[in-house]
Amino acid sequence: MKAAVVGASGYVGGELLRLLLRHPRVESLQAVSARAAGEPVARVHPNLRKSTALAFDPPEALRPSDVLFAAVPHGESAPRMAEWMASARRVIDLGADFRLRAADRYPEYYGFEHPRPELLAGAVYGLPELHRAALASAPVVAGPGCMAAASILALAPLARAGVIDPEHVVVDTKTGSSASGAEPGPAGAHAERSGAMRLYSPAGHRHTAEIEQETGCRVAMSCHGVEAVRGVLATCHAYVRAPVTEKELWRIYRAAYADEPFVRLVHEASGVHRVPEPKILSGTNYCDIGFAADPHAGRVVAVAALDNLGKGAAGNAVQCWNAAEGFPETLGLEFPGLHPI
Amino acid sequence: MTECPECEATIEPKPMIPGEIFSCADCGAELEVTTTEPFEVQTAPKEAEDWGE
Repeated sequence: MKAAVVGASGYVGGELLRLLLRHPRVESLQAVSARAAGEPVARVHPNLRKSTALAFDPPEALRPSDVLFAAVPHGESAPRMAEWMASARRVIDLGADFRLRAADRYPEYYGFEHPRPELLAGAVYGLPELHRAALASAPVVAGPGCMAAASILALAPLARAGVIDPEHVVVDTKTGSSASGAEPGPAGAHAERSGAMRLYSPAGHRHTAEIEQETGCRVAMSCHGVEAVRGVLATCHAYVRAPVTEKELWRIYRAAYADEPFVRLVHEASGVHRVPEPKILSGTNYCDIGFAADPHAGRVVAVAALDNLGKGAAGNAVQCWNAAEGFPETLGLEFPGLHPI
Repeated sequence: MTECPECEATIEPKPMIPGEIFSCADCGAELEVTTTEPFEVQTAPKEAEDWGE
């Protein structure tokens, strides 16, 4: 099949190229970037040296494709979606422009009026674990935010099982610097970022909207930046309607994820890696989920870890494409990660 | 076939003898084989700080 990546010079774009260059169903691949047009791909993404001789094409040179992956900043997909849909049979947008079904939440969380609200209803929220059946017929797939993906995968089984109070859920996230993207800014300067444990969003983070949409919970979210390049750790605190045991939690999470290829339950009694942590997930498409009952506080702690560029973005987008096309869902995504790293 | 008393994971019979200890593949709990016909396990006793005194 023919695949195109628009916004291919960013970190998510580079990760998409890395995965698609080795995907067995991709016959031709186009890398599109306004910023890096004419440059060899491997000059911007040095890990791809000797993997590809591709150069970035300018946006006006976009060719027809079977699937177009868009990795452009929020607000840039919606005005271009009609053009992309005319060019590709399926568009997988990794930005936020088609994640929310309610157009009126865009001014509140993203600061713009949605220019194509009529297209929102046809977009499917791109988490195969929640919306697999709808992906096949979706012309537009909206990839989740990285912290939202982790939080939703941790919380959705609890919400569906009805064991938590949906009005009182707290999500606390830690994330690495690559989540800020490849564009330089003062907050990302080494002197500012190195060694930081920064609460950069105490309340009102924009991923709140999609977590609420997908879980049905009212979410209080706080987000921290930490000393890492890749990785998201989402620690979710939910208060239970009635006491719940760890065995019940095992049942709830097994029912949700036992057959999922990229969700692993990590809740071990001993050893170094008893709960999920993002470090060992770098470069993978896994989301590791752990949990604990806290009867003292009437609480369940649900924790999810993933690579923000993997299951939090590019890897998940390729998984969505695999699911939509009826390919084996793990195709091109088998990398098990590194340990130690 | 039996299940882990800690997390209810399915555990296939193993070529072990009563008293042997192994870890549950899902939750990592230490399990002790109690009988082999049928194959049954219990959570392995933990030694307390006073060594059982």
